[in-house]
Amino acid sequence: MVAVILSLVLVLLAFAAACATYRVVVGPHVLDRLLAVDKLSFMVMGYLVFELSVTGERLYTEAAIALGLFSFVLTSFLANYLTELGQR
Amino acid sequence: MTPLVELIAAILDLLAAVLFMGSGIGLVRLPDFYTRCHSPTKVVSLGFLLFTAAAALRHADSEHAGVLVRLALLLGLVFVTVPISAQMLMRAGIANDVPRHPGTRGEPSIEPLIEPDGQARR
Repeated sequence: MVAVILSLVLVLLAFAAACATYRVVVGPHVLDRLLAVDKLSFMVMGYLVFELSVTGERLYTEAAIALGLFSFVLTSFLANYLTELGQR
Repeated sequence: MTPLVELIAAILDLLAAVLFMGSGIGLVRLPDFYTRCHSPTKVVSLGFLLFTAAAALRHADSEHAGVLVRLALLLGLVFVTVPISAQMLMRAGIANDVPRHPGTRGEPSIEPLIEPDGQARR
């Protein structure tokens, strides 16, 4: 029962990541791709937290925190850059 | 860890994964950039809360409490950065005149980032 639920969680997360990857590839505007990359990194963070809670390996939390900080810096820098580019 | 705790944590994980899947579907199927921006932003926060709650439930009785501290730090990080980055992205979208869905009502009203005399606004 529990094992089936845990495998289902992995399948659903993979489906969500596939949807975000579709938006990265197809996105008509640069901002669509940027948004999809941001959300893709959050999905990877969710997977890391899930993996931590199943295996108990403590390094996954540090990896998730570092990934979140990097994705926030990337997204805010590129969004500010594109804002200034569009105002010009 | 009793089987009941394990089952509750697994159900929390399943709910979080369903929310993440919903955010992915919204990212694919919604019509324009602004709606695509709004859908995963709200859903990802709640999904993260559920994932973190499941992890904390599984590790509540472990001997090293550092995991709980790091999980709280991670949750705070996500809850702060998700709305900020979404607001920055939508502001960039308005500044770049990203096309809107024709059913959108109203006009975007953000303060201009550059004053009429050319000075950047800080």
